Amino acid sequence: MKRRAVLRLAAAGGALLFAGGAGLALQPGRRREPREPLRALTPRAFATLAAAADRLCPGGDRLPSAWDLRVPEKVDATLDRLDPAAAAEVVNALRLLENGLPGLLLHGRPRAFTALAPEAQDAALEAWRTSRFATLRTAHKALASLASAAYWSDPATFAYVGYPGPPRFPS
Amino acid sequence: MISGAGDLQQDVDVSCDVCVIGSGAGGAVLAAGLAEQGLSVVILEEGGHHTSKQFRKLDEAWAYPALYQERGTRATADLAITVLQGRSVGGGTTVNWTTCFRTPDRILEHWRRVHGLELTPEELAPHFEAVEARLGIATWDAVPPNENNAKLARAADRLGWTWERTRRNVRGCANSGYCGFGCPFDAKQAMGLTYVPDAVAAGAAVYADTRAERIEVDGDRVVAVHGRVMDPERDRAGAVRIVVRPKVAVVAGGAINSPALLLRSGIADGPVGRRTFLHPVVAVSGVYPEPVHGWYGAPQSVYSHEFVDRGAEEYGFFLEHAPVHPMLAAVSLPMGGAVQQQAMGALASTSSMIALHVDGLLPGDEGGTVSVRRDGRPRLDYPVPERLQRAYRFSHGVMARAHLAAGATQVATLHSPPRLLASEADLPLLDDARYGALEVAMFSAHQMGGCAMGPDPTTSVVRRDLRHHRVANLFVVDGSVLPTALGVNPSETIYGLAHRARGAVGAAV
Repeated sequence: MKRRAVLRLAAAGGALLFAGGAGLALQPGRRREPREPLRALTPRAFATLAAAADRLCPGGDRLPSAWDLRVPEKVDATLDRLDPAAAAEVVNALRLLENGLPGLLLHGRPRAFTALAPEAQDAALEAWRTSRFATLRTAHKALASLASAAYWSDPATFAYVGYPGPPRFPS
Repeated sequence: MISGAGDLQQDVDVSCDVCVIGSGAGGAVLAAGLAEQGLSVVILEEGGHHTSKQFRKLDEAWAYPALYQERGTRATADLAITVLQGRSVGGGTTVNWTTCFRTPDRILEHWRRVHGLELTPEELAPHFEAVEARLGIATWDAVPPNENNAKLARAADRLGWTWERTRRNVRGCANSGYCGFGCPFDAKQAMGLTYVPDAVAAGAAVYADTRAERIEVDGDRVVAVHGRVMDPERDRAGAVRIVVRPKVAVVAGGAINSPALLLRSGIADGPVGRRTFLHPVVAVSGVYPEPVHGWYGAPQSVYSHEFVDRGAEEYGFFLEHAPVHPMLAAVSLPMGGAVQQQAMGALASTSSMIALHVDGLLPGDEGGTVSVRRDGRPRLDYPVPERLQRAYRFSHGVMARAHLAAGATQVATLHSPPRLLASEADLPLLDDARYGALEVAMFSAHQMGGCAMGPDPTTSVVRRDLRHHRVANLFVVDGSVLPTALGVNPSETIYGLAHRARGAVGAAV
C-alpha cells in the first residue's frame, strides 16, 4: 500500500476515532496526563507517547519506569526546541500510532494504542519496527530514539548501567 | 568580538571584505588568516558560543542538543543513519574525538587520476605543518590507550593486523574521555580555543547564534548574505535579521549545510548536494570479563588501516573505537524493552568497536544527496546498496573476530535483536543477518562532499582554488569540497585545505 494512501486512510480513521464515531469501537484505556503544561504535544499525543515510552523503557526491579523519570515531559520539551517541521513529524507519528488504522488495515488491529494491553502495545511497536513499510520503521526509530535518549541520560539510571558519572569540577 | 543572541537585539547591516559562513575546521582556519592579512572579516555561526565553563556540565542531555546539528537529531531522511555533526563556535571541532590525519597519498592520487584534480602532498605539506604546529597535532602516546581502545590493539597484535597510535590535536590532555561533550579542560585544540580567538584578536567579528539563510547573488556576483539570529535554545530563527555585504563570501558550513545553503540561494550549478559521503559506520560490541568503562579515557587512541583498501570492487573500512556514554549507547539500541535494558546493564564491561566505510572511491558509488525541503531544512538521502551491505557483513565478521581475539566473552551486534556470539563457531550468525537501512544501526561522524572541487563545472562545484566555477566572489572552504571520502578522519584535511585557501580568498578581495 502506498505511503500516501496509508497516511490518508490514517487521517480519515483518526477522525472517526476521535469523534468516537461509527464503525470502530474505541474502548478508553487509562491515559496518562501531563504533570506540567504541554509545549509541543497535544494531550492525546502525550498520552500515546507516555504509553509507548513505558513499553520501550519499562524499568523493572532495579530501574525506574519511563513515567517515573518524566520521559514524556522531557520529550515534549525536546520537541518544543526542534525545528517545528521536525517536531510535527513526530507528532504525526504519534497520531498514527494511536489511531491504529494502518494496523487495522495491515495487521487487523483496530484499537487505539493507549487502549491496548501492554503485551499488545509491545506487539504493535514491534510490528512498526519490523514493518515492510519504511515510513513505519522510521516512525518507530524516531519514537524509540527520543524515549531512549531521555531515559538513559537520566542519572537515576547510572547505577544500573554501572556508570559512576562524569568527573566533578569544583564550582 | 563574539556576539551571541543575547547581544543581537536589533537588525544588523554590515559591510566587510570577507563574510565567512561557519566557524568550524574550514571557516575558522581561513578567517584567522584573512584577518591577520588585515582584511575585515565577519563570521556568521549558526551554533552557540560555548566554552569549557559550560562543557563542565558533562551532561549528554545538555551537550547533544546544545553542540550538535539539529539539536542532536540530525539523520538521513529515513533515520537509518544517525549523523553526528557539530554545531557551535568551532563547528564540529568542539565535539570531535580529536583524531588527525593528513590526506592520504593514495586519496590524492585517486583524485588526480579519476577526478582530474591536481593536488599533491608536496603542495599541501606546508599547510599541514602550519596547522599541526598551531593545534599541537602529534602522536598521542604518553598515556596508554583506555581499556576500550586497548581491545583493538590487543586483537590486532593477536591476529597480525597493523595498528598505530592516533595523532590528536591536544595539549595537556587530561585523558578524561569527554571530547564529545566539549573539552572541559581546554586541552582539545578546537577552533574555539585556537583559530577563532586568533581571528577575533586580528579584528574579525563573530556573530554566533546566527544562521545564514540565503546568499544574494546579482548575475555572477555575491552582493549580500542574509541571516537570522536564532533562538539560542531552539532550532528556530528569531526576529532579528542580519545582512552582510562582503566583497567575497565564503561558505564553510560543512557538508550537508553548505550544499543546502547554495541550493536555498538558487546557486545550483553543477552537482550541488550530490556525492555526499558519510564514512558510514557500523559497530560491534564486545562484553568482557573485566570492566572496560568505555566512558573514561581518551575516546580514540588507536586505529587500524588493515582493511582500508580492499581493491577496486569492495568498500574498504578503517577500525577505531567509539566512547560508550549511556545516552549514545542507548540510542544505538532502538528496539527498547528488555533487550535494550540487558545491553545497557552490561555497559560497564562493554567495548564498542566501529568500522568506518570508505565511500566515494568505487566506480558507481555516488554516496548520498543533500536537497532542501520546502521549509528550507536540509534533507539527506543516503542509500545502502547491496555492495555496502556486503561490506557491512564483512566488517562485522572482522570486528567479531577482533573482540573474540581480545578476550570478549560475548560479542553483540546492533541488530534488533542483537546477534550474540560466544565463539568463532557462532560467526555464521553474522552471515544470515541483514545489513540494510533500519536493519542494523548505522552512524556517521564524518560528513564530506556535496560541493566537490574539480576542473569541470559539470562534475564539480568549485575549482581547485575552492572558488565557485561561476560566481567569481564565492568560495567554499570546508569538508563539502572533498570529491570522495578520505578513508581517514577528515579534520586535518579540512584545516590544511582552509590554510591553503587563505591565499586565493585573500587575493580575490
